[in-house]
Amino acid sequence: MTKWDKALIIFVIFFALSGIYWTKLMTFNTDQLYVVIEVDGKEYKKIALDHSNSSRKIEIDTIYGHNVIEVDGEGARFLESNCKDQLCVKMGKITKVNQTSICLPNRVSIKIVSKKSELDGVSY
Amino acid sequence: MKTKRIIYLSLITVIGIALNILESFIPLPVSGIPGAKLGLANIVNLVTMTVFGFKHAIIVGTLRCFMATLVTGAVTGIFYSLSGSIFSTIIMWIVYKYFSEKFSLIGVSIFGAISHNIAQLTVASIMINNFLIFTYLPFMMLMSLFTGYFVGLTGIYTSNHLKKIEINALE
Repeated sequence: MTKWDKALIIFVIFFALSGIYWTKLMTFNTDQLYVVIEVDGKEYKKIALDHSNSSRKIEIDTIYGHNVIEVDGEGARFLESNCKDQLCVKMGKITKVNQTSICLPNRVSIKIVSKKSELDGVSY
Repeated sequence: MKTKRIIYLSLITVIGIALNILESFIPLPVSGIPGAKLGLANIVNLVTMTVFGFKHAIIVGTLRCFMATLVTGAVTGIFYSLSGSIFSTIIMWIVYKYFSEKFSLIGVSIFGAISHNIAQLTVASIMINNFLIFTYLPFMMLMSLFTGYFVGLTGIYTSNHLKKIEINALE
């Protein structure tokens, strides 16, 4: 085992660890989140979250009722609803993947989804 | 002379196939890195390269890949093993020939293990048409440090003894 071998081993460890760190960072950043608004089980709108500070309000008027949904850079929440129990408003903001908030009387649901990776697994 | 060489090379090839089969029975005690393996058959490539030379190492490696594929039954894996074997032999030969006073066989074998991984991932990314698989490379490189170190250590001892035998046998 020469000096160069040790240098090679240290270099490879450094390279691999920085590579692992970089791929973690990259997969975190490219993990694009979407807010999916569904009305009566059908997709009504799909909005990408862009981590900005601006928020937008989406009004949904259906035969079941009236809802206002606020979408900002981090997540989405029900701002107003004309339903009786107001559970959807009390649910608060949802920010993480697979979280959902549902206004059952008005049949409106919002949920956060992420773009899935194309690979499930790799076998050699 | 030539017959002796053929016999030696075929013996080495058979040892490589046996190591390949043996290695498929050994589970790696590292979870989370599927596809990683010990690469014991790389010992054969390394030793053949140091004792017989580059051309014979390529021949032995290719033969071993074909035979081991037929024996273990993983026919779809032939592109992976073949590309890895040939590419790693080329890289190991370059390192061994031009940098052998700097790197010992351990360094040569680590180079071989890493290039083996790179070749396999390249073939895999072409076959499944997705280059995201290269994010797997750092994990494979960490594993190849350990396997490469031990393969190199084995190669040092084996080739020392084999070189002595070869000189007596072939003269």
